[in-house]
Amino acid sequence: MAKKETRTDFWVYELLKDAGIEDKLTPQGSDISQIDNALKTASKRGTGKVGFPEYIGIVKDFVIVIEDKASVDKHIARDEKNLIAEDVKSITDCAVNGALFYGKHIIKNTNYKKVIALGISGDKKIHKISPLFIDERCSYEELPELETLISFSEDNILEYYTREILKEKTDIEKQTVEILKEAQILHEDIRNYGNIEDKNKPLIVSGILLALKEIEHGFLLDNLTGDQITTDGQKIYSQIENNLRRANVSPDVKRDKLLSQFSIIRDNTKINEINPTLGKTPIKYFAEFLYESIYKSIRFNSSSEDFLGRFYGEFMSYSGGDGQSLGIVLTPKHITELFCDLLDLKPDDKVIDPCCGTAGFLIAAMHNMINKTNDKSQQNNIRKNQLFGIEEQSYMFTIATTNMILRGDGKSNLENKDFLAQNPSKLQLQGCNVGMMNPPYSMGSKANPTLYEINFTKHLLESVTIDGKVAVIVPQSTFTGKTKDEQTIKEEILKKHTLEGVITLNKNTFYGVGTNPCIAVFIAGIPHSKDKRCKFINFENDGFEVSKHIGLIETPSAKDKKQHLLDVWFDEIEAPTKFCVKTTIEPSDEWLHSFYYFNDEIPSDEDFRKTIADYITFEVNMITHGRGYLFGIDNGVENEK
Amino acid sequence: MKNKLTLQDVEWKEFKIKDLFKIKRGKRLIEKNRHKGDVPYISATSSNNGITDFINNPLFIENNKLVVTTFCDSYYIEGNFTASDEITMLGNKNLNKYNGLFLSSMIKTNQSKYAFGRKAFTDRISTQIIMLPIDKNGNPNWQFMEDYIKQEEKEIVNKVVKYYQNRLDEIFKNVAGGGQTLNSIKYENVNWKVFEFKAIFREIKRGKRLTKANHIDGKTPYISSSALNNGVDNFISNNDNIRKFDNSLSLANSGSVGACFYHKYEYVASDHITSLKLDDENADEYIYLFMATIVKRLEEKYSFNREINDIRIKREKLILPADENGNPNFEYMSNFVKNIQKENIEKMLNYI
Repeated sequence: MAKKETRTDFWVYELLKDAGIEDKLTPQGSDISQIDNALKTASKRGTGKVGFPEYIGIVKDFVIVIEDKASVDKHIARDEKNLIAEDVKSITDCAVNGALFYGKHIIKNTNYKKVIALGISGDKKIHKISPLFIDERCSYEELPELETLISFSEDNILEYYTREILKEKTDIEKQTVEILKEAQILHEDIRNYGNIEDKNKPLIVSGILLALKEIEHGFLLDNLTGDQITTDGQKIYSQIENNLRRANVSPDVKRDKLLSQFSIIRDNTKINEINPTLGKTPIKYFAEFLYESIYKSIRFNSSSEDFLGRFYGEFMSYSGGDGQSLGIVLTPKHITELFCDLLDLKPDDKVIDPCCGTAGFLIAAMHNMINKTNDKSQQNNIRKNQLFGIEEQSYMFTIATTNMILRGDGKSNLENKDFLAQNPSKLQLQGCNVGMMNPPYSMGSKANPTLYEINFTKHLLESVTIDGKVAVIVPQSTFTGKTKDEQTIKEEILKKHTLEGVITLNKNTFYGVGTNPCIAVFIAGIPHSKDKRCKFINFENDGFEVSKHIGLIETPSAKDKKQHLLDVWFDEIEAPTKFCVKTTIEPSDEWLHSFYYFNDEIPSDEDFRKTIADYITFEVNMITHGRGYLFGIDNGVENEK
Repeated sequence: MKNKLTLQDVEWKEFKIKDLFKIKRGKRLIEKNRHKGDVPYISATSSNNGITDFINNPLFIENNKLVVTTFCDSYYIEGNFTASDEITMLGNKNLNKYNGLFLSSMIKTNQSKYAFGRKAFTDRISTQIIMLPIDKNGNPNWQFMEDYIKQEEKEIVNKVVKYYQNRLDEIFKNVAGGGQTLNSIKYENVNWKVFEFKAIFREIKRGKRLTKANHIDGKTPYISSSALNNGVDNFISNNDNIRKFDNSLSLANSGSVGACFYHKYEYVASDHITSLKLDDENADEYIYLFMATIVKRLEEKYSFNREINDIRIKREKLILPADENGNPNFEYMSNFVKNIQKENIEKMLNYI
């Protein structure tokens, strides 16, 4: 028994380590004298003698106290009113009850006003983690169960407090709401004052944002006077050109190509004539709007804060349902970030996204890699030489390039080409060892088998270096292999490459677009071994929910769930088969969790009772409705005919 | 009752609902604000006597009322209940369970007048006219309505009671030592083992499509991919181009994917049904009901978007109790279900 308890303690210590707070919480007592003094009278039996919780300590100004038990049976005891029982037996026997006891004791005997008490039971595989918040009046609130302690790290605890305990919106949420509102306003303004096609709206916005960068070099918004000889659009256009030169976009052909996409700013008459309602040209109005609401914020925000990206995403989503009228599906930010984590990006990786759209993956990769090094020259190298993108559609390519320039990418290794037309061996020479992709969906058919998502995947696998890692987000149907062509490609992939695993995602990941996506991770250039045990994970419940009028939003549990996913992915912990099945595979299998998983949990008594009750109800229903003959009662079929 | 009461032998008259009843309308309590409890929450549904939820924080409590939904479904509610704003409640001091059932069927005869665009709201219900039997003073004949329903109910109940008494006898007869053995069945002491579908079911076969237009009325249940009413969608008499099964499970491979029901009788299966038959021809209903519970768990992993096709079903697995030789323990399954059935039937027989 004692041995088991030690194992739990050790696992809890691992949890603390994962959250980076193992130094802050100490076992069996505290090095903070006020708390240590309080514990001197904290015996759980109420004898006034000394008593120690398993771990106690302080993160920010929260006291965190942990009581753990080896068995989940001893997790919590409740009284007849369904409250957490506070009798001596419950306190000594059960994790949550013990944690509550210590939490209250700390409040009463120290000056600390906020305590988070955690009752933890079980082990790595089967466990429960229940947080309680106790305030200065000793009243407590039960918070939703967790899988990890990541919510209590230095970085997360305030957000957790704001969202879970105060139930208020955090800064990020507030910003998102504001950004959304602004994106919507601008969108409507461009429509009302400019009469511009949806497709061109993002171009106008990105063009203006490029021009605004020239403010540091002497460009003044006041220069936009509505002059009819040199129009406001022309002035902005030439600032865009200046900025492209400054960003060192070369060769000239590429710069000219980009510039030509922005010609609408110069050539559209309507946005270059003074609008009587506005008292200025619409283009100037847009520029001022972007300057006030977005540009200033980007300047003042830290570089990792992806403010512009979110504005951009929102703005695109108004261009007709998640950018669909632009022919693209934007990858949500939490997915681009998840890719970086699943592929375990290192600062010296080279990343390619051959269907880069607005460059969401590349930007996420850039931030991720830059954050992992303090070496300025390495950071610079990441921006200049370690990010590669290909985009076929020229206006998307323009937006992607602009996007990269605005985030401080020095060189923009983006190319306006058709990925499938490229020779993968040649692409391989670029030396990219990481591939990320969200290929176009549902384009493949019998007539065009190369356009199947699975073929894009194969092409990418051949375009990165041997032993490189590739992650793709595709519809689940990609791996069921409906057609012969797809089946063949799946076989070819396994002959040359290794499948690491497939993660089934939330059905609403692409909210508004009817796709059920999944992420697949491969190792390129190494044939799939027969004994390779792949991971198939059901991550449908990822902590994101659809909120009306806003779209997909993060709930407080999302961070915790993501951490759990990563722990399972990197074999840090075991998970029940409901979440993750590890198995060998065949090319003809459907490479999905739902294919390999079957419910191996023992059913409850209740399950059977329900079936039987339903059946008897049906029987009675049939007999009383004149269908008794089904059960051998032949008399009285009077309702029949 | 000496002579059989008939509806033809009484006089009928028209009544406006508002002249007969005290009328009240329910109040809405949205799902988010309801707390689980024991008070039936009645709202506009065509099934389960109008009950959609059981709550403990009703905004009001009524009893002994007729209720009418906005689709003109009508039910009699005997005990305490609360109701949504889609419900009109009708009260009268003469009302009881029996004449209540009579009245509710009379009110329902007007159902065809109402639809989504024109719902049966309280004001429309109050002016609705219904036909009722009358006494010699021209008033509604409450006593006749009550007696008539009692007479009809008796006939039906007798049938049910007889059936279930036989069933109970059968259950006791089938188990050595009678009910005693059943009580000693312990759920905890079971060894569960993984089996392949292929190994358990001798026949895994899909039904055949029969479009609604081609259904011919009859007596054989037509089973399709519904989660309701044991999967029974219609009663037909078609003989050509169909696939019939009996004494087997039906599994919905499309539609309500994963719904699984037992059928003792011969049935026609649609192409959205996969029939599962055990190796043992004589496997009893109890074993099948046990299996249905486990097979039904396929609901979790299949969906509208991911149907159970023939290839997928053949490589599925399930867990079952096993005997000491590692074979499925059919005897245990059978006894386990018998035990629960016995409890249910006894409960029901005591009531009716």
